[in-house]
Amino acid sequence: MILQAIAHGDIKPHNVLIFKDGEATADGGSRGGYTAKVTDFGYSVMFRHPDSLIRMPKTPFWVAPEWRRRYSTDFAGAKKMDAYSFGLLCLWLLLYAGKCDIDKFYEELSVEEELSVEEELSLEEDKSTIARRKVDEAIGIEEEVKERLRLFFENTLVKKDREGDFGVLLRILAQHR
Amino acid sequence: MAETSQSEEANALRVVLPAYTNRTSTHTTHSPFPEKLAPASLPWNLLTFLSIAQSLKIDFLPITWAPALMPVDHGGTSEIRQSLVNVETAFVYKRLILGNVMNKDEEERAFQALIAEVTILGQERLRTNKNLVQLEGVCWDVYRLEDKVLPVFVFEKAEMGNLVSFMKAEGKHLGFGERVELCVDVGTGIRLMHSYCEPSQSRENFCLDSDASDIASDCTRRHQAP
Repeated sequence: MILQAIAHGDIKPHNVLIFKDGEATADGGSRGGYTAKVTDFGYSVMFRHPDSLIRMPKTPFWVAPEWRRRYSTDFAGAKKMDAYSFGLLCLWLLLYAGKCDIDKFYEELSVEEELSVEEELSLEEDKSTIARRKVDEAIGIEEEVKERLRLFFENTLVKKDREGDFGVLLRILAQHR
Repeated sequence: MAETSQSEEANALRVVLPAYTNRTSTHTTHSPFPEKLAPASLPWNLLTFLSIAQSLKIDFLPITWAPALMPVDHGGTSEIRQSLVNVETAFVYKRLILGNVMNKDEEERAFQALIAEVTILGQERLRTNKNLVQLEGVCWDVYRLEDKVLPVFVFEKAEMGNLVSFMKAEGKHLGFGERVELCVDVGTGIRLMHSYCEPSQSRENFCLDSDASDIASDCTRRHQAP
């Protein structure tokens, strides 16, 4: 069985596991000594050809806004859906986690469910706007880092013209990469 | 002793049942294969699972779990248990819940997810990456009375649990930079999944991800290994 590309389809913090780094690797010390690993591929989709159309699964809240019943997408679209969920995960981890309960995050970020595509796209505020406001308010983060975060959330949480290339997203997120 | 653990297990099976109905309503049933290319003759059952797992050289492990240990986490169709194989090694088991695969429909759906998962976990280029959870192998749940054998995934154990529980505990005090590092870990894992591997006649894989030299070397490294 040969396949070419995979979209995860179910990116959320519950599907990320945390491992403690081995004591032998305590050379740098700048890291917290933890490694995050992605898990649960039970809802992943495989593309044998980038133009194949596949229906994506839906995880409430974490799924990209373009998801609709019977919504099919090609690989480029599936990557953008992963990018959206990844953007939300980062927003939660960087600016909410440990400071408040995850329910508060759900509350602040929830928009009306079950809107039609047109209604959804016409909404003035999307999650990238909320993220931008949250970054503006954050204290203790350098302005230069804030600028990168705004760019990152703009590229992951917008409804249209989202970035699907994780190489690009990682370079925005972490300068040294 | 044996009686207690059996009844505990029976309880565990019953308790998680509602979660399954919930999950099916929030997930579309979807094929892991593109519709046009889906092999129409491929049944979602144990035999398909076995042949795919074997062709991907997944280890079949002769180990079992401790039913008396409480599940550490459970998703919709499966639960996860930790087990001490010996004092040094602990794995995590992801098992189907028998009560959720009683009819043919449920069983097919469950096997569809299992087959998708094993196909992905078995991809050579994903099996050396430190940002994707590694499958140690597969063992089996044998239900003699029901005449069923269900696969059990065996994973490396995450000492710190998932990101949500971690951030309630030890992770609470992580600094901003350390949080960014965790985000980068997750993104790196996804980037590798997204990377495009060109299959060819020989067993070489050529990866065409523009800026992921580590991915290309992941592929070659595995092939160089004896």
